[in-house]
Amino acid sequence: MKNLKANSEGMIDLKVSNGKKSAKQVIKDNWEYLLMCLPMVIKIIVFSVVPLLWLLMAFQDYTGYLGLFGSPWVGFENFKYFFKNGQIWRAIGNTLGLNLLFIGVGTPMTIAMALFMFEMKSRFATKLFQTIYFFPYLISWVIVQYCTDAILADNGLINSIIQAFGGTPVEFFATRSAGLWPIILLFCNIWKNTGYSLIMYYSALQSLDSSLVEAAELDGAGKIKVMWHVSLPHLKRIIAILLIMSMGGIFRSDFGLFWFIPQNDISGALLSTTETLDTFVYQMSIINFNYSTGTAISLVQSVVGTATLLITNYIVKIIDRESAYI
Amino acid sequence: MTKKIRRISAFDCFNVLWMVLFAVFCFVPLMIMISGSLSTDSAIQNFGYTLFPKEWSLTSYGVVFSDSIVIFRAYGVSILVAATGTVLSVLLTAMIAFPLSRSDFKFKNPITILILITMLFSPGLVPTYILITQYLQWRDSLLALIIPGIGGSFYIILMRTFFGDIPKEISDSAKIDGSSNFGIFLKIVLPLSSPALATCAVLFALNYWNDWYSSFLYIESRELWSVQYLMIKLANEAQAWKMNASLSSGTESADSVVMATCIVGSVPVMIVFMFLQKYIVKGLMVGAVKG
Repeated sequence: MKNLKANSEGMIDLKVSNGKKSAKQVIKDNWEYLLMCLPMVIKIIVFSVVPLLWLLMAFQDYTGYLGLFGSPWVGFENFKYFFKNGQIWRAIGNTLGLNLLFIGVGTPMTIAMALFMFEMKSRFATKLFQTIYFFPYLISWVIVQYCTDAILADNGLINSIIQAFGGTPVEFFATRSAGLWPIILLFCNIWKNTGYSLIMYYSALQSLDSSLVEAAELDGAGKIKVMWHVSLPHLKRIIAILLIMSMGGIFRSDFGLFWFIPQNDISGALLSTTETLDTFVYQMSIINFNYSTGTAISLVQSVVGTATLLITNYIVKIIDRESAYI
Repeated sequence: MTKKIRRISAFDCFNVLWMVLFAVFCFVPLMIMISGSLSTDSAIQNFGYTLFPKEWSLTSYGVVFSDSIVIFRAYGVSILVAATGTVLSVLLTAMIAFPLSRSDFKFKNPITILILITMLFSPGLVPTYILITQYLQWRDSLLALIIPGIGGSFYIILMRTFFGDIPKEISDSAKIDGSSNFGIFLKIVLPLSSPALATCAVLFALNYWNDWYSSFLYIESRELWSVQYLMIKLANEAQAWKMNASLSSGTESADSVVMATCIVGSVPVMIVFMFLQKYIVKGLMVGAVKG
């Protein structure tokens, strides 16, 4: 290919393509490609790389009118401040705890559902169930909050049921119910995201060689045994990838879920168990204008996220080389 | 061979039961929304929220559409943002994914590394906020809803994978025929990968449609409220609409109006995306198989 092109363009090209190409030549060969990349590269640089400069704010006592170059440098003061602050530890604890709860309960449940769904032979039924499970994913948290309110409010569905059986109603949005909220948030998270990840696992199962299943069945393995010994190992790679990704996000949280569903935007009664790092950063920086501390937390989030991702990837690599992500 | 009649085992029963129960779990909130919107406010006050309306009424929808300018405007803004954003996203993502899928592109590695870095290391809320509000001056501008959301590392990699699956022989023969790289991109790669473009377009559109966070941060003026932002402000709005429509009907609450707006704001989109779901599934499948 290369030679053909060079021939049509003359001798010089042929000569150059044998040795190392000059920078000018490389650009000349690739200018069409570079031009096509340009708009997206500019967008990435402006919105993802340049803002990284402002992370320096984490080491400053930033004030808007002085700007990034005029604000005084304070070293690690912001980090010290937030490690001394009890509220941040609560937010870190909640973020880690809730994420581990979501991963620990949600992932095995979704995998089990995918395995069972794969055993259903009716194509119509699997399509129907997938569609139903997927629709919560299409609704944003701002709409879901009105549904959860209708279910959990004092005159909500659950309290109606409790009262119908003669029990005393539960005030879900009061401070003393805060202990229930990790479970409620877990339900919300499962409700919204199961359909999405189910499709991933189910699609991965499609590439399973059916002769393996038949062979196992001929050898007398029951359905549960086939699932455990044949189908589940087939999902190894996708489970590893999704696990690595979610471990990378362990210091991040779905802002909408933790801001709107416990109604932290209006009451704040449930902050003790529902406040996460992202809602904390929002409150700190956008509401209280404390930009430096907010940025310091974001920086910690990025660093810890990258570290956990690499560590999980490393562990996966030790256990099973092929499944690692990077 | 004759068709074997399948015995219905305990396993199948358990399987179906589980799936049905989960389907009900997914469906209950929607049921409450529908039932709430069709109830009278006094029924909600007296009996609470139920799965089926105790007292049927359509007045809540009347109230929503009596001040229909607000909701239709919000729809207009959302559609404008989603359409522009989706077109730009698909275009720019395809344009960068094509060179990355070619083996003769010399700058493949540095650009891939740039994309991976942005995937891992996000600048966070405050730097982006300062960039957009102070330097770009996009507060109260639709640009703040469209431009920062364009593309995304995941989609670039997804599309690169799609493009990489196109047989190399086709583009090679085009090159022998004297076609430029632009020509290969426009005349061969894009038409051959229209399913991939559709998948990404649907996912982009869904992201833009459901994005309330940007409006939440950058939008103030009422004319620029999107459907999602309207939903955030809904509790207050519904009260005002009800007053305007002078349908207080003895109660102070506007619960049924809130539910009706939720339905009006979410169901049409849900139906559209249900029909487009196969594209989403296809995209997720490629993402699942190729990582």
